[in-house]
Amino acid sequence: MLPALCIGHRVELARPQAGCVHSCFEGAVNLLIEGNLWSLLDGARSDLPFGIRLATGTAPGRLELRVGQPVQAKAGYLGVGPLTIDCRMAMRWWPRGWSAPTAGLAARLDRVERIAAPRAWRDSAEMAVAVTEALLRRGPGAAAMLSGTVGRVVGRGPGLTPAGDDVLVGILTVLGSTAARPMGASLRARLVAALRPWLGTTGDISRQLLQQVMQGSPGRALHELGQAVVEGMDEAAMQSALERLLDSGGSSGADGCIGLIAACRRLWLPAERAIA
Amino acid sequence: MNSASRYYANRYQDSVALMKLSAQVMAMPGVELAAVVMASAGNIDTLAAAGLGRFEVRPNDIIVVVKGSEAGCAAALERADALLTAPAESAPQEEGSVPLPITSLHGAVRRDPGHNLALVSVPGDYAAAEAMKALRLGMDVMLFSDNVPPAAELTLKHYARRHDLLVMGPDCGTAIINGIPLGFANVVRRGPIGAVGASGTGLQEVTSRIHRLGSGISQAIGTGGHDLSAEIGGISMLQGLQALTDDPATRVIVLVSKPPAPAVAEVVLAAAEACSKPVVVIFLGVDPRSLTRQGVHGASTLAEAADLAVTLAQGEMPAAAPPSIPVELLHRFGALCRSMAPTQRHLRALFCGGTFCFEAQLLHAAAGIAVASNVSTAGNPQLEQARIGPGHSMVDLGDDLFTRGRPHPMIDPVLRDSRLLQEADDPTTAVILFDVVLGHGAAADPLTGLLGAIEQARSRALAAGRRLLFIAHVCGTDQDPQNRSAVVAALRAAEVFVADSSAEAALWSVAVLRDCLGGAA
Amino acid sequence: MKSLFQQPLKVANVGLPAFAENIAAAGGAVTQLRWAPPAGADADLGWRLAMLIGDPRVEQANRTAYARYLAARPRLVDLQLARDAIAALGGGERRILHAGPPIDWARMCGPQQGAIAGAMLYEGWADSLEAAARMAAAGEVALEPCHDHGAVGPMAGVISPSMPLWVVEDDDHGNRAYCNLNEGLGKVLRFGANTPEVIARLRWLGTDFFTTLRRAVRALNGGELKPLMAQALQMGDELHNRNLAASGLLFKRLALALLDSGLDSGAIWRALGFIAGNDHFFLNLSMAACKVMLDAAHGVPGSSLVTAMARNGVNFGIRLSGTGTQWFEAPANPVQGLYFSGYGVEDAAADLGDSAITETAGLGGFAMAAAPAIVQFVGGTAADASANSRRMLEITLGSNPAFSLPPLDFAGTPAGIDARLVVDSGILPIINTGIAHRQAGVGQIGAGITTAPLACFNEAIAALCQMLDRNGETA
Repeated sequence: MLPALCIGHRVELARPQAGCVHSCFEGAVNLLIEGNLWSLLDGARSDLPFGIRLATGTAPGRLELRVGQPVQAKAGYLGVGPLTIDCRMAMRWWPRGWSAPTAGLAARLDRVERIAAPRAWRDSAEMAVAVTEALLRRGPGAAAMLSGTVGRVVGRGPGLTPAGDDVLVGILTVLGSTAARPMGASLRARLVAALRPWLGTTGDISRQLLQQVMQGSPGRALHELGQAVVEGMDEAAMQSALERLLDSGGSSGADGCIGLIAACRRLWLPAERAIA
Repeated sequence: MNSASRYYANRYQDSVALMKLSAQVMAMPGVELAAVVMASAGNIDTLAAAGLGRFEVRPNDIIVVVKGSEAGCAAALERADALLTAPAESAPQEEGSVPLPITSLHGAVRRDPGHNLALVSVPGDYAAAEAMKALRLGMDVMLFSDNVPPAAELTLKHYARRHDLLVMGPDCGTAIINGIPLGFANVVRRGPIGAVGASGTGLQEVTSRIHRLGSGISQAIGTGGHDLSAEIGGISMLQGLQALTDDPATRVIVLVSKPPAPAVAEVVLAAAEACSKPVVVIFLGVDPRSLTRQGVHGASTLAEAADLAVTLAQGEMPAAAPPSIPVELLHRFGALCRSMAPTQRHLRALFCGGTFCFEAQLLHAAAGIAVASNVSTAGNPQLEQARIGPGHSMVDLGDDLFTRGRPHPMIDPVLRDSRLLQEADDPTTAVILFDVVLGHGAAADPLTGLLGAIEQARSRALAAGRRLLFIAHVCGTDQDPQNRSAVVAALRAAEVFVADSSAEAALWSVAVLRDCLGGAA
Repeated sequence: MKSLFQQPLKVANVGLPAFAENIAAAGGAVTQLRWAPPAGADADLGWRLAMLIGDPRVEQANRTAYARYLAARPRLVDLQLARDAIAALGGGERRILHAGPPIDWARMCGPQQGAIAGAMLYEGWADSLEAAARMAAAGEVALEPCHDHGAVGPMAGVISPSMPLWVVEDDDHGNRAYCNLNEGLGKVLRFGANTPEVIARLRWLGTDFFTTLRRAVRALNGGELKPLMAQALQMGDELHNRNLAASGLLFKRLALALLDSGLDSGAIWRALGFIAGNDHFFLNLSMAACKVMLDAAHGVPGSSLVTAMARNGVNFGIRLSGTGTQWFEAPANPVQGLYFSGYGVEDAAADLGDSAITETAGLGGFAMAAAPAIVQFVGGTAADASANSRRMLEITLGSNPAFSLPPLDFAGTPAGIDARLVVDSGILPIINTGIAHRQAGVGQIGAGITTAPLACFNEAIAALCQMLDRNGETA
């Protein structure tokens, strides 16, 4: 019996559900349950909307789980193959709303960019700018241009979650925030519509994460970094949020960061919001 | 006569285990009467009624009561003590490898959240609570227990419906889920026909006949005997019907019950009509023509329901095929009747399956033959207590009257076998009609005692110048542990006329009474 | 149920074993429960219990209460005289606190009466034991449970205004809890001894020892207790009946603080000597820490978490987080154990003391896996000790990762007793306990294992149901 520490807000434990093990990695084991990808996470990892974070030091990859094993959720317990995970007392993570951006946003974004850019994929910045620019275009041909741009970004770049997908996740996290309303909401709707047809061109896991943020459920690390940057929290809080994000899997965090930065600039820094 | 008793505090054993203990104590020399039971209010009343005395109600405790000689009582109490205080299981000796016993449904789900059905057969007082816990833990329920108050049944079924779960029961003895027989059920192949039934033996007859006709069962859902009452409103039957409608493996649906409350019947039939799949409905005793409507096919017997379902599953339209009796068989009946003594005029039927008793009464009533029964219907007179005859009689040996404190005759047919002998000894008895129900849960050996009783009955009758006509039907399949073919062959070798279905057996009985023995008594 | 058709069937069989055998014979997966009627065979209560399982109000309340228990950070912040720490003892009225649920003088067991009389002599409210007994019988001294005042005491558990108390504070929730000091073994007040020797020792504890130790405690500046307790668990303690390692670890800290204090070396020597000679010195601090953790979790409406288990030598009492200050009582269960030579079960007092607060917090009998030596009192093996801890997991809300048990692969100790699960499963909380002589003043005559009585939990569940019904429809 393994206790779960914290579960994401999209994990529904009130009714029985069934599925199977989808994929196994060192820091995460993914479960496919009624079309959604739930993730068993190492205690040190950041929460996800469908995440189930185990006690610190329990590496899901070392639980000897195998792809295809049956998964059953019932009465607050999660049966995964031969294991049972006790989620009854787990805390639940909900993303908190962001309040409006405070002065100094540009400087903070620059600071974050200086740290994240070297760790991101070489083309991530270009993809981020291209998407956010295309998003703001109006008039004839704008929709087609957005679709084309998005199509070139989805599934592009290295990593289990391709850099292009990570960039999109970063952008969507900002557009979906409470601070970005109302303009962010309508931009998000445009981007989501443009994205949908291209979802099949990327892998399962990345697609699931993209879909989650498209549904308005961002991952905790990016969400909290974005919040720290936008709200202008103290330096230490922002630094630690950034570290948490950059620590998660390869360049994923950094690429997400690049997308986040680009979206923030487009939304809130007038000089950048140039429309062709 | 001496009497002695002893309580064992905070002990529980299930009713079957306690019955075995009672039997062992009762068998001891010098013991006239003995009982080992939970000291619940109901059991204490039973002990008093049986003349064992009145004792304190202590529902948490076991009580041993014996009546007999002084020495007999003392020895009996000692024996009971030894049996009840068998060494308790010690804590596991190996590090973590021997699992601790599971004492609650929550414990089971903890151990493995894959548990998806709770099968509840604890005493009625506690059964509803167990079922409610199962539902709240996210499991479907098969509630075998009876004596659950209607208010509790309603609460359970409302909760279940709200949460898209199913309560099969209370008083549900039969189900087949995902090909696994549950309770008293037969081994039948998987196939395209789904069944929902308020009658256990009704479901057994229909499902095993469907197997014998070469088709199969996707799911057989029991609803319990009270589901179609006005108070409950058919909640489980409607849910079952919906589940089978949504089930891609089911092409045809059969609904089986004794007559529902009229308002409930209408709701069920309306749902059946709205169903996209063909539905066969058998409400025993209800005119099938009143059931038939668009996409809904009424049947008048359990066998006919099975036949209709198989035809529809094969994509054909059912054609009316009234049952008939081969001429050679009628001749054999006639010959046997002519060799009987003039006193022999009556039918004595003994059923383990209550629904067979019901169906047989209906078929006899339709032919103008009145029959007394302990569970009478169709205007039949009530049989007084458990007495033999007089006149035609049909006894449901599974009724409470016979099963208090003893196992159901399907599990242990000893009562049926001895009753058969008693009926046979009555000089007015001509025909003995009975059922043999096979499957998991039923007696592993239904034959030895039965064949012995038949042989003894025949020889005693012969000595008194009488001949007996035995008619039976065997409910089951060749895949049942008892193997239907073997049982049928053994019965035929004993010169029992074995019909192909409960309905056919009843029709043969009607034919014998009407045509060979000259009508109703 | 359509999902039922898409999954492999796995049946939980509650009732006749033949059904399970048949399912297995037919190739199905089935688990046979070893079932007995729950709630002491009270069918009505059993039904109400069933409605509590999975009740969202209870689940949510439990999550809140349990989180507070887990988050608690007990720190030793001070040593204070009872009159200064506890308001009800500071007003000048004659009031004495005792272990267990409320009970009047006439019904109290020998050791507890002996201890109260001794305390009254210590306070100077009476000049003879007979006079003290008369005063107590006449109601001239208020007698109340320690628990009602944020305190706990082992065995007779007597706390009077002039006694020094450990002061433990929960850094997270902000509440405080108190416990008296452990006098040692043999003829001591908590076993009902009240001779002039005992009173003299109490005086020394309340003056010389108190002054000295307080300096050390304050110098330690709020030392966290959970890490020390966790370490002791990995050294063979369970922090109720085995406190040797924890007492040693505490001694280390106090010794250094005392040597740094500049106090008179004689006083230091006496204090350290006293502590070193008492293998159970840490028990009282363990109890205060557990009390503070559970008090933080207490008071969440609708919660079925057990926040106190205590005995007064006649009754065993429990409290739930969600039902306020109400005690749910029943006669204590017998203790299975070993007696020191010359004593037997006929000499034993009934279970006594607030020390079951350790089990309530997941230590003691619940952490038995960490202290296999305990099971020797009942002729068990080390595997039995682990099995006992494992069985407690069936009735708790979770396990406390701060207290990990090496023999269970470092899994956290079972913690957070859910009264619903006790009533449903029939598994009773297990308690490691000492056995006192029924006569005041003789002392400990054995040790063993006992269980909390089911009747307490039945009553508690009934009360919780009533409370929830009053506050709205059951889910």
